[in-house]
Amino acid sequence: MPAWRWGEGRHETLGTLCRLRPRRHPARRGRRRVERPRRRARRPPTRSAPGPLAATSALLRRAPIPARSSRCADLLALPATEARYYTAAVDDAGRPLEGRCTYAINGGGLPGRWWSLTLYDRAGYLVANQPGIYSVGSAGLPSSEQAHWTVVASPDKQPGHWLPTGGIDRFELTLRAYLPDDGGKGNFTQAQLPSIVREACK
Amino acid sequence: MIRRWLGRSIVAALLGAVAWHLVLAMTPDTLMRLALDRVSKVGGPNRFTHSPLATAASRAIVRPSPDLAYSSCPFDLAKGPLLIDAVPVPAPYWSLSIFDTHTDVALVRNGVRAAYKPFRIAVLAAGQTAPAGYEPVHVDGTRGIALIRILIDDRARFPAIDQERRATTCRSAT
Repeated sequence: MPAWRWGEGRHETLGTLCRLRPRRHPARRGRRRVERPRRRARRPPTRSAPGPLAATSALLRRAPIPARSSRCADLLALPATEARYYTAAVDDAGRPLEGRCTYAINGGGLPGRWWSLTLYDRAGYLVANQPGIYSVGSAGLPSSEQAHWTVVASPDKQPGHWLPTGGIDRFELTLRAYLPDDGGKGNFTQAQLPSIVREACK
Repeated sequence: MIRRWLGRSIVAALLGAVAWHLVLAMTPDTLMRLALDRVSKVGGPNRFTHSPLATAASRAIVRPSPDLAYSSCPFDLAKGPLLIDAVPVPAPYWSLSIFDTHTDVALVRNGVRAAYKPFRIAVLAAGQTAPAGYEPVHVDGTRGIALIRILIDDRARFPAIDQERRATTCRSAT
């Protein structure tokens, strides 16, 4: 089952500036609906668009970008030429990402100038953790790891590149790639996107 | 009886469709207005406000990038063009985006394309002209926002970059 889905323009967009009042802390909120990949085939934009282009990599479906944003989430998003966004809420086996579990995220070089992997809670906020680690990016990897890297998402400190889950109930991962090599015209392939393998749970 | 209910159903469906399209048409402008009002409250219009890096305590926006430093300039062109003197910061990624009142992108220029050299932009409403030395960028309406994103690949470098990014300014031409 594909872990990654296209980003729907929700990421790094200042997209909820339209939210007039800050949300309550997610720990106080009820459970939310599990988001699922969209099923309809989609096409890329044909003009400068308000939302980012992204894709469900495994299905190689292309995401539509409306000529005019009609959603709060699309506010101030970068166009596809600048950035691509992918989100995973499940692992490669299709199981929800759980904060009590440890995951090995393996990837390689992505066709862009720079990428980063960020961990969010299901409300879309960064997860509190003692060392203050919220993301791992290509800029932080040594050259020997650029072509093949491993990031471990875990509630406990890990050697190497650690993304703390904070032990929260569920989390999501967002992969951002800036200045894609193809100018945002195509999709990343399944082989290019990282795998997410659950290793153990508490 | 059936004919009467059928007619009412069709009218209701038509009204629903019209209402739906009205909502779709009006939502971007409404959202942008709300966003502009919110951003303007922080630093005021026609000037850049430089936000700190996002942390787990950040609740202003959803899915903030912890790697990007944002600077925003909500603008109002009612009294004249907006002049942006941009000075790209030598970071792995730097960009200036200009969004109009409909949330459409009027311009995106990244540091690579700008060769990391200073450039000048005049954001213009209908009927306005750019001063000499400024590249004209026309937008719909009179309000919008200019947004700068800077990649911070090392948080220890943020204080220095925070100072450097303040070299970019926006101001009303009047």
